[in-house]
Parts: sequence; structure tokens; C-alpha cells
Amino acid sequence: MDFDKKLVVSSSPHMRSDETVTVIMRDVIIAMIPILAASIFYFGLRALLMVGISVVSCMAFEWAIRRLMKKSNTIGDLSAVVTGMLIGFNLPVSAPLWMPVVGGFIAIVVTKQLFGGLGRNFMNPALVARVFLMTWAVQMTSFTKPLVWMQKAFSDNVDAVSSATTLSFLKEGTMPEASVLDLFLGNTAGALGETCSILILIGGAYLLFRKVITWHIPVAYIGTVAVLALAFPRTSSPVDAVLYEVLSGGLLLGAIFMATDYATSPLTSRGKLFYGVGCGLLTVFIRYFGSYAEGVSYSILIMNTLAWTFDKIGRPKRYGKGEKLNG
Amino acid sequence: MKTFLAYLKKGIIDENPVFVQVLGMCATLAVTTSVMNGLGMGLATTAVLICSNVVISLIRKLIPDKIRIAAYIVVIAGFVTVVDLLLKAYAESLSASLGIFIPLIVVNCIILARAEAFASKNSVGASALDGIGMGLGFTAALVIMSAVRELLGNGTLFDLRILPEGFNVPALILPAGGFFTLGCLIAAVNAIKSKKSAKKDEKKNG
Amino acid sequence: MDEMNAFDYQQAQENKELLTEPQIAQEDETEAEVERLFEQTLTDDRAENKLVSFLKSEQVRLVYTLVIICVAVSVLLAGVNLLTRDKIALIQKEKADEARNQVLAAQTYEKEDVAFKNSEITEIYAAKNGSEAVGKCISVTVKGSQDDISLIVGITADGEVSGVKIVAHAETAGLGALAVKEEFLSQYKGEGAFTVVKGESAEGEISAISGATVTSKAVTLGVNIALAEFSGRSFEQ
Repeated sequence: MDFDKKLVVSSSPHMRSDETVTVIMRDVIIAMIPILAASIFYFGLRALLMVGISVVSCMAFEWAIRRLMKKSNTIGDLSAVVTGMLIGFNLPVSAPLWMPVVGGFIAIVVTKQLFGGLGRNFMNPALVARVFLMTWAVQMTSFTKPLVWMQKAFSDNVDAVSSATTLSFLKEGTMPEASVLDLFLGNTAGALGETCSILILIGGAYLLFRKVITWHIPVAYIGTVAVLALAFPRTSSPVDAVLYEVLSGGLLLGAIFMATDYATSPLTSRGKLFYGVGCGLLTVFIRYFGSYAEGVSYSILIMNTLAWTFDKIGRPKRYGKGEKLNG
Repeated sequence: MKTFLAYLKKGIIDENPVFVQVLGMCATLAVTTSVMNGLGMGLATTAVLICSNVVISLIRKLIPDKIRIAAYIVVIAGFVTVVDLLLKAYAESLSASLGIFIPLIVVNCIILARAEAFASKNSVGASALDGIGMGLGFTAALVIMSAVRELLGNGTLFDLRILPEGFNVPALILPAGGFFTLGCLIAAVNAIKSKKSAKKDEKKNG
Repeated sequence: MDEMNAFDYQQAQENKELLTEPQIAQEDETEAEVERLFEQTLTDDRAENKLVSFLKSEQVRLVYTLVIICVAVSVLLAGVNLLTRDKIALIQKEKADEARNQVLAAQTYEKEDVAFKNSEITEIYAAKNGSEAVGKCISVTVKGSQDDISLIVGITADGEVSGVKIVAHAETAGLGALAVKEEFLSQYKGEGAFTVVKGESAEGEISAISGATVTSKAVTLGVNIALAEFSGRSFEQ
């Protein structure tokens, strides 16, 4: 949009802010770069390749479909870059290289542009892509042990490459191999962006500082999972259970980066709290009772479709009127 | 002959039960995972449709208005049971792969809709032709859907491997893929139709 | 009786037009009788009309139209059923026998009508070559990761598993559904209870399907239960 060339006439209040879509997206990318670095450290250069292919294909698809639909070119707003990085973060490092391309197509063309472009998607594009890719179940659930690439580079006898994730251990009822410290630092098998909890939290802190996201959804989401894990632990001690459930799987990445997507989450603060609690409940249900080990993607997608109802819950009171007249 | 072709065109193109009238969705989404299944289901439904149309048209003046739906259902269910028994006896593999969707032909909206909208108001000959047209339209739609889903989702056609192993999108065989494919096909049919009617308008005005 | 004024009365008397008392009485009587008969015919007619009109009424018409249609359809169905009944039974038996043949080859299979020691067992067929007992085909149903899994286990007379076939399941395509493949099921050969391991397996161990441990364990459980049933025991974990 050529805002600079037109004379913009608007009514008061005349407050200017630096916030544009591009600035917000840039902040999100900055928050995700440490996570990308950690994924390269633990899983090798192929991680960079995967995320790179994902970003490039997302941008290419957005440019192409906008041209096909005879609309303006929007790749400058960097939202495709963010989606590309998130898709890459949701894949295991051993996934074939065409997967991020297919994922990019589903996310950008189908979920985002066919429904009206930025802000008009009704589900999180990166998660829809991930769920679609889950139909190639074998490729999406083969996780490699961290740091194996280093072993391979320096010596010839390598331990077993593939490994089960913490969540699959919890599902079977056995103690996970990784310790809580491992989960914090990212020394565990999993998808590219899910493992390094501490850097995800730091990224989330940056986003809070820059006011890109508010605390409501992540705190409500993670808090619900923590409370439920405390009340119904899957491992021996409840404290251990809380830490394991919160730090494993895609919970932190999902709660901070994906559940907070503006288009698919409620606007009001109270609505956001309910939304976060709902996501937490669904995640725990799927993890405990469902047949999948990980419930984050499906629970966020289901709550996406219900986000509009939570807007009704948190409507601000009209000045001067009582609570009942809100309707 | 002219009327026969007219009825065929109506059933297969102009008022296709699946792509235009959007009827019979349950069967369409469930059985179109392979072309054999789609073709078998389409032909079975066509047989039931023709028989029920003819019979209902024959007795249309004798059925009181208040119980017409009940009467239609009894006739349709009778013919579906006949088809089910015949398939079990003479085409066991098809019956096994279609499974419960053969009995579900009874509630296929297409058959009841044609009985109510056409057979109860028209002569036996016209009703039979209408049954043939709509039935073949349904079969054509099922075959197209299952060809897309089987080829791209499984790499096979008629259980013969066409695409190399691993070159398929398994999502298309799953229910989500069914909705995907159906949506894309309906969009394509609508696009073609609107282009055709735009051309027609141009010819009229220009 | 018509009313007459005094003058006409006198005139009528003179013209001898008036009836005498007995004549009047008789006329009354005849009139009453005619009325009585007329009433009777009216009632008879009404009774007949009521029945006919009832029969022609809408409710009854609805009922017998439906009854006629149902009877006609039932006759048609009975006819088709008669024609196809035997053929269908034959085909079903052939299908079941073929499934059993795949796990344990024999000439005939006879159903065993006994009480099962394990609740998961659904059927046991004795496989015979002539009169020689080859073994047993035992059908088991266990709980899989999504829904029930039904399998047939062929066990030779020596108590060794000769083959396993999955008859029905609802497992995830690409993960648990891989259990129906020969590569997985061919591991179930030999005697003794089987255990599930990850990765490479030795004799008597089953390599679990990558990503489908629950399914692999379920199928193994089914086979072990069948083995226990064959030896006449109740299966313990």
C-alpha cells in the first residue's frame, strides 16, 4: 500500500506510532533467531537448510498467488518469512526437503491467501501446514538425537540416530530419557524449534518487552497445563511432572509464537485468558487420552475456530452504563 | 433420441447431483478413495435410482399425499436391499470394500430428491430417463473424484501403480483430502460455468 | 290436518267430502305406518353409508396404501433372498476358510463349540487334513491404539505359531496400519510367548513398528492370548 504518496485524512486522536506490520514481523523474526541458532547447533546445518527452504518457498508462493489473484505484492510485510520459519520449526531435521515446500503451499496459498490474505485467515497457517504434513506420519515422527551430527563429523562409531521424544515416553508411562536440564537447554530429540526451552522463553520475553504480544495467552495456556500436570502427574513426582509436561513437545513454542497470532486469537484480555485456558485443557486431554503424543497443534487449531466466541466474553464495559447493558 | 440426450446432458452437466446440486455428499466423500469403489457405488446407485423412479412414477396417483415420503422410502429401501443381496452374491469384493455404504444408499438424498421432485409428477418413461441421466451424472462425478484421489493420494488407478512409490499425498485418501478435492472440483465446475454464461451473455448483447 | 273455517266445513259436510271418524283413524294409521317404514329405510341407508364412508375415509386409505406397498416390497425381497441365500452363505464360508488357510494350511476347518478360557477369544476352528489334526485357527480381538483389532492366529498341533492375519482394525494409516503387512506379521513364528522390543529383535522377540508401539504390543498380546488358549490356559500378563 502506498501510504507515503497519498494524503491521509483522518479524525482525532492524532497519535502516531511506529508500529506497522513489517515492524511487528521483524520483532518476531528477531525473537526467533536464537531458536534457529540453537536448532543449527543441535541438529546441524541441515536445520538451516530446512528453515531456509521453508522461508523461500513461503515467500515465493505468496508472491505467485498474489500475482495470480491480481492483487498487490505483500511479501514486503515479512509475514511470509515468519510463517516460513514457524513451519520449519515444526519439522524434524530428518524430514525430506520437499516437506517445507508442501507446507509452505498449504500455509500461504490455502490457509492465508485464499481466505483473504494477512489478518483474514481463520486458522494459524503454520499449524495447518504442520497438521497436513502429519499425514506423512512416518517422516514427521522420526526424530533424531541432538548433537549426533557432531559425533558423525568427528568419529565413525555413532550411537543410534533416531530416538523417541519425551512425550512418547510419558505416553507409555515410562520415565523420559532426558532430564529437566536437558529439556531446558534443548539437548533432546524433537522438532527443530521445539527443543531449546530457554531460548524460546527469552524470545517470548523480548516479544513482551516490545509489546508484540501480551502475557495473557501464554500465561493462561502454560499455566493451565502446569496446574493439570500438578494435579494429575504422569511421572512419579508432581513437581517433575509439571516441568516435564511444560518443557517437552511444542508447548512453549506454540503458546508464545503460534497461539498469539493476531488473526486467530481473541482481542479482549479476558477473552485471551479463556482462550489460553481452553488451549491448555485441550492439549492435556489430547496428550493424556488421545492417540497422539503431542496435542499442541490440534488444540490451538480447534481454539482458533472458537476465538470469535471468546471476544464476546471480554467486551469492555461502556462508559457510564452498567454491566448488564452490554448485551 | 433427442429427449434421451437432453436428459443425459441435464443429469451429467447442467444439474449434476454432486457438483451442482451438492446432494449425496456422504457417499461421495466416503467411497471415492479408489476408482473401482467410485464406479461400483455410482452404478449401484444408478440401478436403484432407475428402479425406484419407475415404480414411484407408476403408483404416483395411488399414493396419498400425507404418506408419500414413507411410501418412497419403503420402495427405495426395497430396491437397495435387492442390490445389496445381489452384490453380496455376485460381486463379493466390491460389496466388502463398499461395506456399509451400500445400505446407506437408502438415505442418499439424490434418490429421494428425484422421487419427490420428478418421479411423483411425471410419466414412467420420463422418470426412467431422468433416473438414467441423474444416475450417470452421479457416477461420472464419483469417478472423477476417485480418479483424482486415488491417483494423487495413492499413486494408483484401478489398483495399478501409475506413479512411483512414495510420490503421493496420503492426505488425499483421508477424509480431509476428500473435502479438499470436492471443494476444488466444485470451484472448477463453477468457474467453467460462469465463464460459459459470461460468453453467452456476450453473444446475446454483443 | 288442514284447518277449515266454519263456512267451508259446512260446505264440505254437504258435499260429503269429509271423512268419517273411523276413516280418519284408518288414515292416521296408514300414515303412521308409512312414516315408520320410511324411518327404517333411512336408518338402514345411514348405517350402510357410515361403513362405506369410513372405509373411504382418509385415515384408512393411508393405512392400507402403506400396507399394500410394504407387502409388495416384502414379496419382492423374499424372492430375491431365496435366490441368493445359498450363494451368499457359500461365499462367506469360502472367504473365512481362505483367511484360515493363509495362517494354517489344511483341507477342512471345523468350528469348535467350547467355552473359551480367555474372554478375548471369539472363535476356534480345528484344522484337519482328512482325520489328521493339523492344528487350530484361533480368532482373537484385542484393543488397539484406536479401536479393536481382530486377528486370526494359526497354531500347529505342536503349539507353534504358523501365521497371523489381521482381519479388522482401525489403526492410523501409515503408522499402526503397517501392522497388516507381511514384514511385520511374519515375525510371529515359532513357539513361546512373544515380547516387543524396539529396533533389532532376536528369536521370540518382535520388532515394534517405528512410531506404532501400542499397535505392535496389541497384536503381540493377541497372539500370546491365542497361544495360551491353545494350551488350555488362561493368559496372564
